[in-house]
Formats: sequence, C-alpha cells, structure tokens
Amino acid sequence: MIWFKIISKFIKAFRSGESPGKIAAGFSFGFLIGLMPFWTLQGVVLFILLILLNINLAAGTVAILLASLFAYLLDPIFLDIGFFILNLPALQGLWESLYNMYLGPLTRFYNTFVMGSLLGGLVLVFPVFWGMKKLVIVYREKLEERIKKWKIVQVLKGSKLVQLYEKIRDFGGE
Amino acid sequence: MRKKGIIILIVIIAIVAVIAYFARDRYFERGLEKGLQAIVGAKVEVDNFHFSLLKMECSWDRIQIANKNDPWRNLLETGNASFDLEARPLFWRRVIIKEMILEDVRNGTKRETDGSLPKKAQPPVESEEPGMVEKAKIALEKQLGEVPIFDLSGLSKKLKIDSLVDVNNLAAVQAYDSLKVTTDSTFDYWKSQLDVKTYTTRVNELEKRIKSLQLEKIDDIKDITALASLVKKLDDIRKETNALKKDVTEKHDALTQTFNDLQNQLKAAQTSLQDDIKRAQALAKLKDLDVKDVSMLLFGSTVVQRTEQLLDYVALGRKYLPTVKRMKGHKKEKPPRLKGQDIHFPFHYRYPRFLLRHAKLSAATAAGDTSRAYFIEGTLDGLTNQPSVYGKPTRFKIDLMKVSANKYQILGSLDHTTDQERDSLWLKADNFGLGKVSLKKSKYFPQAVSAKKGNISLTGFFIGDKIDLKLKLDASPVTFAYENEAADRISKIVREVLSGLTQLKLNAKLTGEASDYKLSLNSNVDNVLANQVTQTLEKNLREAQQQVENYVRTEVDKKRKEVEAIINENRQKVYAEIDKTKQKVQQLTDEVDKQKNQLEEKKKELEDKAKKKILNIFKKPGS
Repeated sequence: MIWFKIISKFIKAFRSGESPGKIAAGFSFGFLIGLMPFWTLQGVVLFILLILLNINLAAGTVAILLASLFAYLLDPIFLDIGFFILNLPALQGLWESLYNMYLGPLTRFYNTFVMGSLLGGLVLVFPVFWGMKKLVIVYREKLEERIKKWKIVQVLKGSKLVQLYEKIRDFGGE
Repeated sequence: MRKKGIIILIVIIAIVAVIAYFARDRYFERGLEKGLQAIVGAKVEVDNFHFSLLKMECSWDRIQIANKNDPWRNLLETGNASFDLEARPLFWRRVIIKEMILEDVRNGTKRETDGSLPKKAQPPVESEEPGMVEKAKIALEKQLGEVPIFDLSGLSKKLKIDSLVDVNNLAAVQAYDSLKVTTDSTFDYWKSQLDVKTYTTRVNELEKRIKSLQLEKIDDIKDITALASLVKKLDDIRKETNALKKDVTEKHDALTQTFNDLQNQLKAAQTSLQDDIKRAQALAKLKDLDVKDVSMLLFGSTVVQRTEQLLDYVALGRKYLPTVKRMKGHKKEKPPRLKGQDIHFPFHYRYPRFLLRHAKLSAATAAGDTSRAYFIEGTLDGLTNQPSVYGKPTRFKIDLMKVSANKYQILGSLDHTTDQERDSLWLKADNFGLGKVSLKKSKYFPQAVSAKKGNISLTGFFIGDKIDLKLKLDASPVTFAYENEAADRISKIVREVLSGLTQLKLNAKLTGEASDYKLSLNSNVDNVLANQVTQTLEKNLREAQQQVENYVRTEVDKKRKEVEAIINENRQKVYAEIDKTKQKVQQLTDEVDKQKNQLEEKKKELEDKAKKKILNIFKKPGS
C-alpha cells in the first residue's frame, strides 16, 4: 500500500503539486542513492539530505527504485569504470591518501562497483535533473490532457483496484 | 529545510539507537561465536558478552569451546575476561585489543549439551602440497619403519630366503634379463645381415664370369687388342671381388665389436651383485645392528610421538598466523552483480584485521582433579591473523606446574612477518617427575622406563621447511619394566646391562629441510647394549647374512650362465658362417690375382713380339 501511496503522490506532484525544480531535485537525489550501494557514507548522507531538504520525497523514492534497476543493468559498465579509475597510475596517490583517512574507508570508494556507480551517477545526475524538469513542464503543458484520453488510463481509472485504493485513501483523510 | 524531514530523521536515529543499545551485545556475541565456530569446527558459546561503546571495553562471563572430537567435553573453557578495544582501528574495521586477562582457563570440562555442529556439505578440497610438518612426519614414520625388527630368534633357524627375496627384483638379474633380450635381438640382426646364400651367389657369379673369359685358352690369343679387352674384363671382376672382400671384412670387424660390447655388458651386470646382496640382507632384516638403532628401538616411537605432537603445534601456529602473500597487482575479477571488487591500497598504519597486543592467562588442564592438573600461567604478545601487517613476531611465555612438582617453562616466538616462517621454541624443565614412559613393544627390550627426577631441555628452530630440533633428557634413578620373564640369552644380556644403569642420558636431534628430515638418537645405553648384543649375535648374524649372499649369488649366476651360453652358442654359429664366406672370397681373390698375372705376362709377351716385328719392318736391308 505504501508504494501505491508513493506513486500516487509522485503522480500528483507531477501534475500540479510541486515545482518542476523540486521534483527534478528529489528525483536526482533518489537517482544517485539508488545507483550506489546504500551502506556507504555518501549513500547515507544523500539519504539524509533527501529527507531534510525541501525537495520532492516521493520523486526521490521512485527514483531510488528505478535507479536500482538501472544499476543492475549497468553493473558491468560500472565495474569496468571503477576498476579503470582505481587503477589509474596518476590517481594512486589520491586513493592511497583517502584509504588512510578516518572516513575514507567508510565511503567504500575502493570498491569497483561503488566507484563506478558514483562516477556514473555524478555524470548522469545533471542530465537526469534537466530532463526531469523539462519532462514535468512538458507534461503539464502538453501531455497531461492527451494522456487522460488514452484508453488504458480510462480503463485503469475505472478499475475496481484503483477505486478501492481511492476509498481507502479518502478514508485515511487524504 | 523540511521540518517533517527532521522529525522523520530523529525518529529513525532514535529507533536505530534503541535497537543498537539493546541488541549490540547479542549481535557481537553471535559474531564472536560464529567466527570461533568457523575456526574450531565445533559449538562455541559466549555467556553475557558486553560491549561498552563509550569505554570501548568488552567483557564476557564465560566462553565454552566444544571439542570437535569429543562434543560432550570442552576443548577450552574460560572464566571472566575483559579487554579494551582501540577505537581508531575500528574505522578500518580492524579489531585491536590492548590487553586481555584470561582467568580460569580450563580444558576437558564436561558439557551439558552436545557441542557438535550440524554437518554441512563440504566443498571439494583441492589437494595441496604437503607442508613442512606433514613431510617431516612422513620422514619420521619412514625412519622408524626402517629400524630392524630385531627378532633374533629367526637367526638360528633356516631362513626361507626365497619367500623373503624376490629374485626378479634383483638389479643384477634384471640386468641379465635385459642383456638376454639385447643378445637375442643382436643375433637376429646379424643373422639377417650375414646371409651366406647371398655371398655364395655373388662368389659363384664372379667365378662364372672368370670361367667365361676362357683364360685356359690364353695361349691361343695372338691379338694384343683381344688380350687388352680380356685384361679389362678381368680388372672389372677384380674390382668386384675386392669390394666383396672389403664388405665381408667390415662385417667381420663389426661382429667382433658387437661381441666385445656384449662381454662388457656382462661384466657391468655383475657389478650390481654387491648392492643386491646388501638389499636382500636388508629385506631379510639382517642389517648390522648399529649403535644408533638401539636408541631408535628403545626410545624411537616415544620420541617420534612427542616430536609429532610438537610439530602439530607448529603447524597450528602456521595455519592461523599466515605469512605475507606477495602482492601481484590487481587482477580483474568477476564478482556477483552489484557487489564489485575491493582494490586495496598501501595502508600506512600497522593495524592487522585482528590483533591481541598483550594477554595474561591463568589456567588448569584437568578439571576437578588438582593432583593431576597442570596449572598454567603465561603471557602472549602480538597474536594476530596478519603478522606481516603487524610486523612483529607473536611471542609467548608459559609456565606449567603440577602440585608437588617442579615447573616447566616454555618460550616461543612465531615470526611470520615475512614470506618465510621463522618459528622458535624453547622448553626447559629441571627436576621434574618423569614418571613412567611406555616404550615400543619388543621381545628383548623393556616395555617402560620410569625415573624419579629428570631434566629436559628442548630447542627448536623451524625456518620455512627447515627443522633444527634438539632434545636433551637426563633422568635418574631409572628403572626399566619388562612384560615377561627373560626367556633367552639375549633378553638376559639386555636386562643385565640395563639393570646396571642408574642414569639415562638421551639426546635426540631432528634436522633437515624439504623432504629430507633425519632423526638421530643417542643415549648412554647404546654402546653398552650394542656391544654386548652384537658380540652374542655376531655368529648367527653372519651365518644368516652368508646364507642370503649365497642365495643371491646362485640366482644371479644362473642368469649370467644363461646369457653367456646364448652368446657363446651364437658366436660359434655366426663366426663359422662368416669365416667360411671370408675363406671363399679370399680364394676367389687369389684366383683373380693369379689370372691377372698370367694375362699381364701374356700381354707383355705379345707386346714384345709386336715391337720386334715393327723394328724388323723399319730395319734397313743388310744392316
């Protein structure tokens, strides 16, 4: 049920609830979190920021889910990137210093997947932010009306499952 | 900033903190139990583990480690223990204990529950190259097995040599068998090469050709040209005859060389005979009684048993304190999805994954029975699973004592900081009660030795696969115990000699490296006993040895004669044939030479006549 609620909130925000920037920022934070293994210093810090900052939490939660799937598909590429970067002779001094810092090991930067997904995330986060912002604006201006007319949307709207969910939601004071 | 977010975060932190506070001890307890269970292969139970995050201190009330081989007893049980953890290394997940005090350590205590672990399917173990300890054990067992049985009763009886010595295993017999095969194939070859028929045909053909020249009508030839043609034809035949002669001579020489080679091989086969005799005597356990064998016979199995126990401890240290593995650069691995591969960089701190800087322990070995128990007190420094990272050897000092007995002192250093293990061990005990020590079962020797007091010192150095172990034992007054009454002369001599001894001095030395380990033992018993026994046994031993020697000589001679007969028989046949051929060819050569001379004379005669005729033509009439 919580997932219904999150998706519903996300769709609501998409349609009118939140500014495109906040939605895109929430989605971008979620994207970064979802792409990397969670139990790292940067993963936890990003999660705390997602909760504390005034950005869209539902978009972030959906992004975590989507990015996890994305990470699974891109795993071999991330491993290659991570291995390459960690073995780059020019950066050995940097990695060695980081490895010997108190907090360095907590970031698990020395893991090929963590490093690869972090770099992949940092590279992709800006296009994701920009793309998401654009998508919200375009959706609100052009796509929403068209999508509403889609048969599948109408069928889904009329389905008992969605009606049941709406009843429960309204019962809960939403 | 989202206010609701701050509340959510505070709630999450609070929940985590509460769970961590209440569950941390159990969490660490389970972790410790699991880790130790994986090492010992039996159940490990930790009671009341407590971890204080603020003080960085741990403690427990009791640890029970079950004995894998006897699950209803504990291999080790400790009482209360507390220790401080160093905080900084925890950032790198390294557990470093400053000091630990282990009290009331006991072993062999009864358990209330079964201490065995549920059986898991074991992954197939890759066969590893045996280590230093395994190799040394194999060498020790082999050496112990090579000691003569010392059943002297057999010497007076007639030995069943044919059942003891397998003739086919004797090197000389094998050499003669091989030579027989060589001889057969050599003669087969020569038979094919010396086809007399071929030579006879060639000789007959040449004879025919000589006949066809009709040299008996030589006087009828008046024409010098016809004669020159005849000379040329005879020259051709002569060339072929000489070629045939050369061929036969070469074959004859090669055959002579072959026979010489076979004779040399016959001599060479005979050189293995002395070794065969020694080997056969060893098989019949008729090795001369060596002085060192006496110590080996008497104390060998006991010393080997104790040495193997000691080597097991060395192996244990080597298993859990691994040496440095050389870094070979980072090789790309294929880890499971979303897991990745850890790339490690040079670490600037000497923090191994686990390190116990200093431990003090007090213990007792036999639970409940203080008269039998050993009380142990000691210190342990630098126990780590990564000695190369810590950079210092693990050192221990243990004092063992029994009620109303003197103490043993054991010092050890396990230096695994480089890629080669450097372990050393010292053990010293003065005036300790030796008690009764069982010896190897033997018809003539005692079953046990006992001494009231003894001094023992042991030094052992184990560097890589090199062992240098020395043991000195000095015990007095000693008494030997026998299982049966002395039934024969030898037993009586042994008892008489040993009864005169009041002190036992034993030196044992185990040295060597790779697979070549040698245990040598000597004691004050050796010379006295060996001389007495050897004198008595001398005659019987020599007779038995002679019996074996004769048997081996006879069997080898049989084979030698067999091969010699084949060689001689074939030699006669082959030489007869080749000599006959050689003779025929010689006759033919002589005949050709004779004819050639006649033709030359005739030719000269005709030439002279022709010269005269020509001169007469050109002579002036009347001159």
